[in-house]
Amino acid sequence: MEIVLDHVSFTYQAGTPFAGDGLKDVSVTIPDGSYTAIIGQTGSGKSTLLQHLNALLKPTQGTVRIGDRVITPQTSNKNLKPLRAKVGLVFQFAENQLFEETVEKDVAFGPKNFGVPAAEAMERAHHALTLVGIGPEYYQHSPFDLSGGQMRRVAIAGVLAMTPELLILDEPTAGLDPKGRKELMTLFEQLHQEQGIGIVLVTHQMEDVANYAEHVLVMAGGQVIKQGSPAAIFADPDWLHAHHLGLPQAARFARLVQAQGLPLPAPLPLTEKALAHALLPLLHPGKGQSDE
Amino acid sequence: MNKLMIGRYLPGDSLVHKMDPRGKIVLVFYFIWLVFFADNVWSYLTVGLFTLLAVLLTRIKLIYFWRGIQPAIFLILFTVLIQVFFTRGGQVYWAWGPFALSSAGVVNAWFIFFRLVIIIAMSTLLTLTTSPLDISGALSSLMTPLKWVHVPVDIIALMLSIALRFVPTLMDETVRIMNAQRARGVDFGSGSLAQQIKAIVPILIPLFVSAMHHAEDLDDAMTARGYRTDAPRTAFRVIQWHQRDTLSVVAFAALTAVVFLVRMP
Amino acid sequence: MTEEAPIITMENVTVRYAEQEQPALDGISLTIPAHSWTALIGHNGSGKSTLIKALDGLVTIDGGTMTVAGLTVNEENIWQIRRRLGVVFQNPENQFVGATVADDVAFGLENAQVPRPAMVDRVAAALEQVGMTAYAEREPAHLSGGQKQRVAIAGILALAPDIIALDEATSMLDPEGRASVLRTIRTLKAQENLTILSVTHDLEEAAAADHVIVIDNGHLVASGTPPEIFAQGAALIDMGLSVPFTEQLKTDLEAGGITLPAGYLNEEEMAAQLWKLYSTM
Ligand SMILES: Nc1ncnc2c1ncn2[C@@H]1O[C@H](COP(=O)(O)OP(=O)(O)O)[C@@H](O)[C@H]1O
Ligand SMILES: Nc1ncnc2c1ncn2[C@@H]1O[C@H](COP(=O)(O)OP(=O)(O)O)[C@@H](O)[C@H]1O
Ligand SMILES: [Mg+2]
Ligand SMILES: [Mg+2]
Repeated sequence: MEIVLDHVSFTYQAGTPFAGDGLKDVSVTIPDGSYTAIIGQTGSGKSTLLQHLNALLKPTQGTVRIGDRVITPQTSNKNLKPLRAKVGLVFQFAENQLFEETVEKDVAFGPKNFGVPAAEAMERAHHALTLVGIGPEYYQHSPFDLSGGQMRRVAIAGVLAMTPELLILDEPTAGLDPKGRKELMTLFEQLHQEQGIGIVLVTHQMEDVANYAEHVLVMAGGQVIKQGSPAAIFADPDWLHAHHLGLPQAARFARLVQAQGLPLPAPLPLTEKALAHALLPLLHPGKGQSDE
Repeated sequence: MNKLMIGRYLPGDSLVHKMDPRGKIVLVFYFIWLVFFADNVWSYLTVGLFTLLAVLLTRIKLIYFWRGIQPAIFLILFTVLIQVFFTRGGQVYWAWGPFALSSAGVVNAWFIFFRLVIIIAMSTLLTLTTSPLDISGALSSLMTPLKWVHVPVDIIALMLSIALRFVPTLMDETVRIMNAQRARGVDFGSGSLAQQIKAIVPILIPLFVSAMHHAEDLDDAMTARGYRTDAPRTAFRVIQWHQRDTLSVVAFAALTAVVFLVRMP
Repeated sequence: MTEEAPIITMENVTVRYAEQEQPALDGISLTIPAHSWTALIGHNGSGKSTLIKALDGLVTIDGGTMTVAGLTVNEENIWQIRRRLGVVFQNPENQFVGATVADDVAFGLENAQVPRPAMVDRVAAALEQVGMTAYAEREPAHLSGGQKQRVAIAGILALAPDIIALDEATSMLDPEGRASVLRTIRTLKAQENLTILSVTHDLEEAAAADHVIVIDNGHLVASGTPPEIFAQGAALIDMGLSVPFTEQLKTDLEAGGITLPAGYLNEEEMAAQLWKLYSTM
């Protein structure tokens, strides 16, 4: 399902002295089945943009087309529900949305709201829990007895159980330890590769952008100021720096190596694997140039 | 999100903003009391002009005062109509059963109308120009004498200030939780009453859990910073009485004199 | 680095929460030298926060002894210890007590019964040190996470402590907020000659520390300099941690047939080694 934002502006608390710009004239396309990363400083409008993708917010100007539904400022709040099943949105610190007595009931809550019969909703819940790596021994636990990382995964399962076509993730790994982060990022990659689910990921980890994203949106001040492939976005370190954004670690290290004099071929390697791959031919005896 | 202006503070640096909040609160209540002594055109004109002057001194756009009055408009009209039809006196133009339209009724209705508008405008002025923090500080300060009867005024004041400080946090959280549940297919504000009540559970429980977390963490943070209820503390924030506050008291005294002079003998 | 006298010691400390089978801390013994920067790493739930809270008397220990700044941690000393050891917690929202920035910085001073005139000066000085003077009258709702954490640091500084403990103080911040908080702490450590104990998942921060302590399920499993700790690559991953970037790269290059010197290399050392390999071929 493709989502197209056409000249979308959004103002918080419009018409009061507290009005503030959330989005300013944003026109972007999220291609069907893509893995899109959104980066930008806090307050740049990333979360506001995400909430337009499943019509939780309606534009104050412009239109949002989600599949074949067109959302305008005048669209009524009724009948938006089907959209929300197709576009699953995982909020930041998603564990804060848990409320049911047991893990399985909480995960089945979404599908039930969309009219899935109880038995099937429970089946879907179990399937989603398996996907996120929560075993049957936890199904009857209270979600509040789990560790922080487990709670986060249960909350994500709660969205996956709605079987969305597009999964939107707002800083899903914030506050987790390295292992928890790695596990979640691997899960999203699997969902994308194996089930063809489209992913929109908001993150501050440039490594995740380099490792997984196909398409990157850079936001600042409520606007999308640049978009392109990770290679294109990371090709201009000075521009990134000027916008308070960094390079993935591998690219940063590659620049350090280049500054030492090693002739790493362009383009800049963005991941650790790519860097090792680029370095090996230079370091193997016989392949490097000896006249410097 | 909401356009209600009651209880909202608009920062500024007018004379009214800068008044000692204790003085401001006491004077506003005193003023409301004084308005009830107005009983003729001249006394209403006096308090009315005084209100207008005070409003202009805030340098806040009139529209915000209007928004303060707006929600009460039906109450005002209702009270006015009752006055019109239930008061008898002077010339009676029309009567039917207990109802009557009389000259006294019309005059009375006008007075009531002015009284309500003036009172609401003045209370709106208080909340528009005084931050919740100052109001809570002023109330605590005004409560100080209660210490003599062993009311834990300092603890109440700290509780009040922390509660106020967490209002925006919890409001943001409520919005976020509601949106997260909406994204899971909850419809707020539709369906039967029973369904609507059911829809509140997925908001209330997470909100409660989160409030508990805030409280636990806050407890640790406060203890770590040396807070104990069994020891005295000094105070950083003190409210200061300035000359302008003395002047405003004088202005109110003058107003009182005028109101009582022009009142019907 | 010359080894200074320890400013924190823990001897066989055990903490068991009610209704938990495993103790959260299980016989931990450690020492932290004065004026050092010590990074405490371990996966979520390994007991890092419990350790910090134990030092500050926020949880009661079920066994063992601890000293902080020469004082034994007990009922009698605890209020004094809390003035020597300041803690910055993880969630910026939940440690902001005051209604405004200045009020919040003053909170600890009010508790310490500092007279108002002195308090005003110390609040101003502390805000200056963390670069938040312009925000003195702001309310917390109008601050970013990084700014709130800097206010929390100012609140601690105002009490002139010896030690600042950071419990994942930057983990909820964006990269800029994180960098600004770390920069602030580095400067202050030098100016005030502080001891820093920092719980972190940020390996670059840990790599820059003087000491690294690793805990796993309530046990202290390793303690040493960053090179000593990070040379254990695989063992760290088994504990749910990750290894610094240069260690990963080294593993991959070695798999590709390149030999690099044994031991942990930081980024500069690694780059220099690669250049050496390349230029001597
Ligand atoms: N509920 C709200 N009310 C008013 N302003 C808001 C609200 N939520 C966000 N904003 C403002 O909108 C802008 C964009 O915020 P957000 O989309 O949350 O950014 P990001 O997710 O990139 O941090 C910010 O300036 C923020 O202050
Ligand atoms: N207040 C508490 N009550 C019960 N158990 C707790 C409490 N706080 C922490 N724990 C448990 O103690 C262990 C260590 O927790 P913690 O010190 O917070 O770890 P870390 O900070 O390393 O993530 C965990 O298993 C956690 O569930
Ligand atoms: Mg956001
Ligand atoms: Mg912790």
